[in-house]
Amino acid sequence: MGPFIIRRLFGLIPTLLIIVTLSFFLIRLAPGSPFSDERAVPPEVKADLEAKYGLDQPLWAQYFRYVGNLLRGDLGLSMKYPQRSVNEIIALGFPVTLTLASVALVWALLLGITAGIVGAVRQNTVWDYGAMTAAMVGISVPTFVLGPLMVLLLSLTLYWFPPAGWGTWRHIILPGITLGTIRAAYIARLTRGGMLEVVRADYIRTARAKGLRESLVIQRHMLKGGLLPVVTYLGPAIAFMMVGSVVVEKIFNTPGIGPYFVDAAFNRDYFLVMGIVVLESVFLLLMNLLVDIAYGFLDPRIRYES
Amino acid sequence: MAANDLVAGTSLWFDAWRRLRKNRMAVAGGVIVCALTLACLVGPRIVQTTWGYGYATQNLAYGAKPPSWDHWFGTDFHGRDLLTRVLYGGRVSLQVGLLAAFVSATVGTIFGAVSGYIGGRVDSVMMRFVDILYVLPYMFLVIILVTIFGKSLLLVFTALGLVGWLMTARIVRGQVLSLKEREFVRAARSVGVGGTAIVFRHLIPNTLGPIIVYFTLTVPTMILQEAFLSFLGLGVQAPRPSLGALINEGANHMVIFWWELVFPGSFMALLLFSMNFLGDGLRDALDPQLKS
Repeated sequence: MGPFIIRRLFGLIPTLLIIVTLSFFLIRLAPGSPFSDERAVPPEVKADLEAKYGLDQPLWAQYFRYVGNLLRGDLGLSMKYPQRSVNEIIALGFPVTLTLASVALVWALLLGITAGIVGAVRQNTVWDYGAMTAAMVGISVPTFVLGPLMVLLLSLTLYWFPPAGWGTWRHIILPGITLGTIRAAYIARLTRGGMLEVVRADYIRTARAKGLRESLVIQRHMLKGGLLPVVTYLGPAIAFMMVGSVVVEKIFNTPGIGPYFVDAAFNRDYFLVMGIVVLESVFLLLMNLLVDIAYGFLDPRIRYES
Repeated sequence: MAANDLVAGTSLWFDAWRRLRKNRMAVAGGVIVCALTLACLVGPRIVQTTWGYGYATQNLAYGAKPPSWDHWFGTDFHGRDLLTRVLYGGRVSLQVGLLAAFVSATVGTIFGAVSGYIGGRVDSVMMRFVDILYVLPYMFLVIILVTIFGKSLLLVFTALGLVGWLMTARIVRGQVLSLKEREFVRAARSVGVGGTAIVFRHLIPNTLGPIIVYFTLTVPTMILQEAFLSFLGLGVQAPRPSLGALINEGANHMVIFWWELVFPGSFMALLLFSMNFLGDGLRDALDPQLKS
């Protein structure tokens, strides 16, 4: 297992480099510049600004400088928030986003796996149909409908939770549920589907035949086999939640890193955009690697050593 | 399989249709999708002839009124009839969804089929390209495309379609890889049919099942993505409404005018809900192996 992981980790580097290169040139070739906003900047000031960020140099030189800084962990300076480096912006917002993502993940796993087990164990009963219809509702109600509706009902009518902001545990509940519900719905469908795949497998029959209690058959054998599709789904889903949801963080005015991305892309805040793209790609690649490793534990038939 | 391909083909579709009809939820979904589509197509005109207002007609004296007989869904802040705006927005969303799904299905099918058919090094380079695009943040690409090409409706769905084709390409490639070794393809090649003709006349038609299934599930996804873009102010531009833009407006005003959020929100949820059920039913009908 060890050599496999190390080999895969090194394999990520070229992919990451291609992503960095592609997104660097994509955003640079898009029309507009970070200093062409509403205020007319005098040409000298503009030249000064461009020199500060190194934009006066040829594009390839800027590219190599960016990659060089990146290797040392320096993501550069933000252009929209001139007092801050991209590292600082991410360091400030990331804990918030991570807290939110963890709450959403716990909610999604608890709700989704429970509903999925109920659906699979009681297949084609009222329980199954109820759980799966609920999951379909969860998939069909977009976060930007669910979030405001919950605010309308639970904050503005019932006053249970604050409608926006950050600070106490009460602030986390609504955005966490909003972010997690759609994932719970997918997890429920995948858990049910995965468990039904293995429900008639020989090893389940063996487990029953040796007199194992039904609850243990479900826990130890069916769930383990049925979780493969859930794990596949969870890898990218967690990575995306870790860089924050633009919509959820906007609705609830959460001070995470989610909303920065769209704004930065719009303002052509080159280094901030790149910083978030790099962060997201690293998470995504690492999570996918984790998924592959988890396969080996969940399904002993999968082996990586050649 | 090879000899009576045509017969097997028709009976496959007939079988699928029979299985679909038996699935009550899918049928209900299909009926609701048709009803909503029809409402979006003719609804604005009916409202126009009965009450005399279009999606941009303002009646400032009658702004932000709750639902009534004259305005079933109420009016918005500018005194525009919300029913008309929701129906018109639904039309825009359906257009974007269908066209974006169509673009992504076409691009993905051709890319995947060519990659799978040629195989070898070309295949690995082409699929590597898909893998890399897959890891690039989706929203990043869409935002770049929208800012490069402007915010017109046509370009919004092209942008969505151009980044949404990756999964289709993978599915089609997988299918083609196994299909191209079959006898009927070898037979075609032995009588001198060229590569292009084999891909378009023999391979792609045989992968239509999964393509259609994936297409029907892509439409609601694309509608959702467009709404998401509109919610962020990147989608369809005012005064043309789209469901996402209406929901965004409603969310801003919800404290006082709850109907501005509830009606477009539930309309969109119902549309996606029934489309997903229809798509699920189609998948079970066209690909019974997938159903456990």
